[in-house]
Amino acid sequence: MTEEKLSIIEALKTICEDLFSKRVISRVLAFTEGEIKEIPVVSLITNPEGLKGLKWDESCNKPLAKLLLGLKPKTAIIARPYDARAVVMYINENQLKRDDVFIIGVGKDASDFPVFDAFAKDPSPLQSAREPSPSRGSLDFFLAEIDRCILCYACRQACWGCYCPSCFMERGIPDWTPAGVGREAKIAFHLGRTMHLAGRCVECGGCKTACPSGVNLKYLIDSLTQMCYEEYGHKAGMEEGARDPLSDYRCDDGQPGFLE
Amino acid sequence: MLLSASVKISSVKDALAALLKDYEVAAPVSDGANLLYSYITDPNDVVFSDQLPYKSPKEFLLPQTEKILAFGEDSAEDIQEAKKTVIFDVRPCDLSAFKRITDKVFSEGKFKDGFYMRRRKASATIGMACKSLKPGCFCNLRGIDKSYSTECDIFLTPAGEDEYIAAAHTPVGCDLLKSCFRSVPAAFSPEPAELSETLEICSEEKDVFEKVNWDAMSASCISCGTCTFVCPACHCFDFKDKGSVRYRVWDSCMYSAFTLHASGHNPRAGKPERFRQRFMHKYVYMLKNIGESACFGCGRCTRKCPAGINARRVLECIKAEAAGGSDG
Ligand code: SF4
Ligand code: SF4
Ligand code: SF4
Ligand code: SF4
Repeated sequence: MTEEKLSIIEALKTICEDLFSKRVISRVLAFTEGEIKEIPVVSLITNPEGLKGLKWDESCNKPLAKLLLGLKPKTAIIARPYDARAVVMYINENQLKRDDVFIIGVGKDASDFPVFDAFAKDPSPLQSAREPSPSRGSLDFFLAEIDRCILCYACRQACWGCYCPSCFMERGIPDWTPAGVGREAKIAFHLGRTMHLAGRCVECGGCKTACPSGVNLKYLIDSLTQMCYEEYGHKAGMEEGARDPLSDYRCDDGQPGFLE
Repeated sequence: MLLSASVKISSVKDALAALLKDYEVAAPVSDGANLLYSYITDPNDVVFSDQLPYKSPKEFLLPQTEKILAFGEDSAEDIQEAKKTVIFDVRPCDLSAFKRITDKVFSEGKFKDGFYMRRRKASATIGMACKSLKPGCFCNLRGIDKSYSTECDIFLTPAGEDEYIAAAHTPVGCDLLKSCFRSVPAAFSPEPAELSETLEICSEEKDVFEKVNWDAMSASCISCGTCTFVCPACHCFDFKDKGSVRYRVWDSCMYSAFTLHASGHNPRAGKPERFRQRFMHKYVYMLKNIGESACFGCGRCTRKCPAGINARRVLECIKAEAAGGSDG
């Protein structure tokens, strides 16, 4: 491990030990070393002892914020910018209270974090994960990805924004889904999920990193993210209290969008 | 072993081409992102490597979706007899999962599953030795010899630079070996297996259920079900009716809708209970019911878990906690 990463880990340990000793938090949501070097373990650390195994490198690239849901306060989360943005989204969507979470941001610049309670500088953070849209032959590209999908829903489970207690794909009345695991069902799921994430995606790439089959359909969501930015100057999870384009309606809206 | 012969590696593609005349052939191929078992049309697409395809080959015996009933305007015509299939390059862990789990569950119990049985009968398996344990693999702790298996029709063991020893274990295997492979009879006695002590939960069911801290054990799980989809031994399914067709589809104990009753009640209310079900079904109930745990240490669940949950570690923790004196 590089010097840089080691010093980040030391900084994180110091912050967390302090929080534990002052009883500010009861657990830390973080990555720890596992037996397999390339596979970091997502852990809820409940005592200073547990901080020993903290891990921080490029392989720690899965979003963590979703695990905050349902936890009793107060949890510290070692957050990349996308986790902080997801926390803001949860606050905006009334799923979390700001006081329930202690955000320890790790990134290039504190200004990348909409909110944080502590910050550790990472001079070589993950690159932002927006996908270039395939311009030519995109139907072929889309269908190739769809064919690879095994409809396991790991992408949905990994996404901060997919927290409905019962997903539209699992509702019997009305039954939205074509039966079986064919193209139709997979397309219905992915397009449905894409629409539900319009203007809400925090660009964590969790849907991609969780997928066992290496499916990349995040570019669909990215195109909506781009659109929301261009049309409304909106970036999800950057501001507490902000309304998302799709949950905000104004009569004087000059761009009614697809409702037109 | 009924027959053993030496086969040049270079002739295996010819053998696959010969098989393709009469059989559907499923073999490891790359889709750009992953190595996976897939039906092939060209033997040149087959990837020969020591890697394990990311999903098990169970889908060729128990497809993820299958039409099992139709009435009225939809005809049942395409609920056909199973196609003759050869599954190529199946490793010892997966071969054991077929033989000791899905075969027992679907064809030896009180309820016989005609769909599975027809496919199994129409399928031949060509096994292959693993050269190494991949990260996450723990077949050696689950009683599986990575280098040899008799639970298939033909088993290929690398012998020297450019040949395999093919061991045929069934009459079907002998026929295939004689008719499709250019082979030279050769004596073969497999090396004794290098196995470690089997990692098994020995405690009482009640202790495993009650003493293990399932909340902590499952805390980072995101209920994605990936572990069960890629596993060769997981075999839970559900039915789905659409119009006048009934389908069988894979299900997963890790999903929140698993065992959800029509009333809205779910006896396994949350994630810890579902996580408990996965491990207890595999290592406790199956052992009790059919004398075999439903895990052969292939490591797929560990390699693909987005939360980095390591099945072997979990198993060790469960074993320790269940055997511990105090209540977890
Ligand atoms: S995680 Fe991947 S395979 Fe699973 S449903 Fe999503 S895209 Fe499909
Ligand atoms: S859609 Fe994908 S990239 Fe966007 S927030 Fe959800 S998991 Fe992250
Ligand atoms: S439980 Fe995991 S290691 Fe065991 S057979 Fe299934 S996928 Fe392989
Ligand atoms: S793959 Fe991991 S996170 Fe997903 S359901 Fe299985 S144990 Fe949970």
